[in-house]
Amino acid sequence: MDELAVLEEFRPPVAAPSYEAVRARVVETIGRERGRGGVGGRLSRRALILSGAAVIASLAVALPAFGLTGGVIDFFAAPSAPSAAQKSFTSLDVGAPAGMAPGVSGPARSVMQATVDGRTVQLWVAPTQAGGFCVELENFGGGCDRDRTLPINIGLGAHTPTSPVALSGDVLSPDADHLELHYADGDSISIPLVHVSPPIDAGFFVYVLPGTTLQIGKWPTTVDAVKADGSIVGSTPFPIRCDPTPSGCAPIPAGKG
Amino acid sequence: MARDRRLSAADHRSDAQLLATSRHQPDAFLGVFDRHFDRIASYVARRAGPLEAEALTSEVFVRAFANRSRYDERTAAALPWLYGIATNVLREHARREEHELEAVVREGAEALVAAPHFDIDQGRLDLAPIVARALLDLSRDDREALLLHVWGDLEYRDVAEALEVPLGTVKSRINRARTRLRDELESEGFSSPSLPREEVTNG
Repeated sequence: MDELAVLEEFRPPVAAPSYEAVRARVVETIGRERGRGGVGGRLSRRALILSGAAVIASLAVALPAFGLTGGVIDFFAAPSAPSAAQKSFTSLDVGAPAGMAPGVSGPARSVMQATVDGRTVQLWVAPTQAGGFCVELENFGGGCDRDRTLPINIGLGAHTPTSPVALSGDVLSPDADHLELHYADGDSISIPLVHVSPPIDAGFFVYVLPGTTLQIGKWPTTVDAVKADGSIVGSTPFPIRCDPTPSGCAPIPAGKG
Repeated sequence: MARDRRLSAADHRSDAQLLATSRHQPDAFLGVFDRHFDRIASYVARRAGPLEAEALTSEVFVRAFANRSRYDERTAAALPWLYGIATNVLREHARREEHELEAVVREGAEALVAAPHFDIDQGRLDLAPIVARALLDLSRDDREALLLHVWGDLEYRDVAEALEVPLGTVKSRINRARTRLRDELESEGFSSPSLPREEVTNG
């Protein structure tokens, strides 16, 4: 007599509960969440690491040595970020204030690469438990939109006053085809978006500001997310304002001063 | 059975992909539900009985939906994860399950016959109190591992995943539980084929 066979007979398979009844309860639960507007609510704002004072002070000449590999990225098919980058993402929760931990829920993957100052850097993205994502541009830092609350995010980074200024960020609208960066003098430039599939479900970009931007006082003022047909799906002020000075302009965070 | 399994039948995405998609398209979760309802419901029913099964099975999937964003996307198949959630749900039901086992020990076959979900072979009714006592004597950890393996029909590695413990710990727990059950049967005069004792004993 085999003890497992005895146990098997102790309580044989019985009629399972009603599939329809259980499914109805799950559907009801799904419906309630849909009514709340998505996973995790809309509680927190993105922590934009790149907007610190040290970075702002270092903004200077940027050289547009720029390149990227584009297209729609299947997140699960994208290459995993190296282990050091993975640790960087998982460490975001360590020491975070209560309720502010981004809660990275899966491995970071490389969704784009760009050339900044002659060096190829990766843009890594990782999903969060709340349905948002965290992003980091290699060597420049990043931030999180844990709850998918910000339609357009723009980060700036530069290592020295004379090094290029890398712009990177994301757009939530699936309809956005590209960004248009508008200058005060009426000029504008177009920045392509690379869309990444769920669970990220957002478009990303990396761009390096043209050289002499600050010296000549030619500084972006607004950013539009634009559909392929030219219609605008979203707009935001450029996160850094450029105040005129005799030598060009001085960068000041938008909303300050 | 007229069940609408069209979603899961037509969808070739992995469980992990469906769960990831469901974070933004919640209905995608139903694909995971449709795929795994039968096994989870059957396991919960065997552990909890048919009277509790519907509520507890619902609870398993509602919790799974609520926690889908925490699913480890590196694991393609969600069944062990769902069994893990079921184990947690059943753990809250453990005292009731133990009361039922105590009734079987105390009242013997009558308790089994009286309970509508005990559909035991009449020739094995005399074994019921012995099995019930053996299950009661097990630690809850050992009992969960054994029942996931036997009633949940999970391989050791899937039990380990469900319980979030090392594989060696699962082997140890199931080996210990089988030994206990066999010893109980043998002490009551029922012969049992020798259980290999080379299993890992750590944990």
